[in-house]
Amino acid sequence: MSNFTSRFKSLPAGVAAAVYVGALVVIAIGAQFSGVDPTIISNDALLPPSTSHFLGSDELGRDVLVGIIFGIQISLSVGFCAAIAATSLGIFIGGIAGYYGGALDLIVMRVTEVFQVVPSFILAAVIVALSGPGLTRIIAVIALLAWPQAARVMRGEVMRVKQLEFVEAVRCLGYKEGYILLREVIPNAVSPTMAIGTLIVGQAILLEAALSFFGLSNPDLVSWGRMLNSGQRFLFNAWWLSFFPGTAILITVLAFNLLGDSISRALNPKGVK
Amino acid sequence: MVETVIGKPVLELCKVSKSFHRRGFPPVTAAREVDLHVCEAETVALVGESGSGKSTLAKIALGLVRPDAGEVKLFGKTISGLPMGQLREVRTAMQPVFQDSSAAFNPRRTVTQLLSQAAIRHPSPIGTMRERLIILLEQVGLRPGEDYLGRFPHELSGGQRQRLSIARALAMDPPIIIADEPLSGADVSIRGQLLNLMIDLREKRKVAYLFITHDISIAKAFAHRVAVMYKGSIVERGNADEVLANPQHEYTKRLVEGSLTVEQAEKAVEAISHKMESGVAAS
Repeated sequence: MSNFTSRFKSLPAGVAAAVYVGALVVIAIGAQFSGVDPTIISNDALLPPSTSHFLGSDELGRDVLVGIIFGIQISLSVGFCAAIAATSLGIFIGGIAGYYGGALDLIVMRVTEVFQVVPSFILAAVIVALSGPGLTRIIAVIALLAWPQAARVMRGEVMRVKQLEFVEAVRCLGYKEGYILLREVIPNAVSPTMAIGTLIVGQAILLEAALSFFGLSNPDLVSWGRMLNSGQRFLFNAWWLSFFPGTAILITVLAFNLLGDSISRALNPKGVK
Repeated sequence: MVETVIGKPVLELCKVSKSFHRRGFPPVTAAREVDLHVCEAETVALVGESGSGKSTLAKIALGLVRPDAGEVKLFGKTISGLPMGQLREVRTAMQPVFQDSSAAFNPRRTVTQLLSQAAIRHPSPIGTMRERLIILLEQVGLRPGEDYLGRFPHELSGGQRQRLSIARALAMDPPIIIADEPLSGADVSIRGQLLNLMIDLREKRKVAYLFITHDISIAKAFAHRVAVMYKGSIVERGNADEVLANPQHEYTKRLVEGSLTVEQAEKAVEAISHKMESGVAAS
């Protein structure tokens, strides 16, 4: 593990991304205790960026910067919850498929392929449109769409670990297969799936923003996608309403992708140059 | 081919066959009607070059691979074909020691966890777990035992890890240890120590060994009986001294000719060092 830390530290993009994500978390928590209400409206409607509104204000006089800061919470919680759900599901399903193999494995892999060829955004939009908006629903939909990636990586790694000699040694001690899978194989096989999980956070943030942009989210919540949705009507006379939330999404998704890449490179001792 | 029978057979393989099929490739026969038995406190060396099916036979004996045909018997009872639950109970009488000691331990567990994982399966009324583990470690020459308890396998040398493998096997107090090339991963200087340890355990604890090796000189030094395996079949068997002094099968002859005896090896080393010394003197 200390090797992992030192290899990770040698990847500047990964360190920068980790610092950025850490800062986001701190800001999001800080915003909750600031006592500021991001939904409060004022007469300063559609003002361009200035000293009183650093990133301008929207058509109801709400500050864009405050909106972006409060939007972090939605983006991150959707991202993290969806990624945790998808990764856990993927570890469980991929672990069992890879360990027991046979017909079960065949079926699971075909199912993951079906998910991979389905256009995920359209499927998500249809599910949310039919079942109605709501944060938990969006998280569930994203997790449902993202678990196959985690499952495939997990399956491959479990297949590698299960044929190592220590697994056979433990089997010769008379332990049950379930114990061996849970206690011996999975702990040694989860790392690459964790890297995939970080990438899923980025995808989930993007998908949530896209769904909100199309108005498929709770209009009372302050989220980046929601800000883009209301900003599009003023694209030509108030560019700041679309530009700043869009940039926030871009940088955050990029950060999670870099973080995921750096984690998987740091996990591979041959990967860092 | 006269064999001396020392005691009751612990492990018997009766006409065991196994072949591997892969699409697009001709089937590979790893074992063809192999008969082999190991008696109490006896050491049988299974000798052959890589690819001759020795390791597959070891896995069949341990119940890790199911044979296509034939039976594996433990203390006279057939264990091949037992349902998983029963096999799990009986197989603990056989413990493996593998070639690659770096893959033989879960890298996330400490020595304490690794050994107690075994010891807990074979309860003993004497002493606390910690005391038991220290005794186990010291039995295999890892002294003082306390110093090793908190370490991870990657913090040990190859030789120490192989000793730990043996300690884990001993925690189960097995009547038989199935060792698959246990010395090949170790340094030449370590090999002798490990071999001495295994001989020591044979005498003190009456452990039987199925000892798999490609090195005929180790077989000669350690085994009571040898079985020579070639392309999945046992081509020659008998008491170690007889077979190796007077090999009958062509393949055994080649194996014996290919290896050096200890005296020959010592002579060769002497000759080389002599040459080097005279070379230094001349220049």
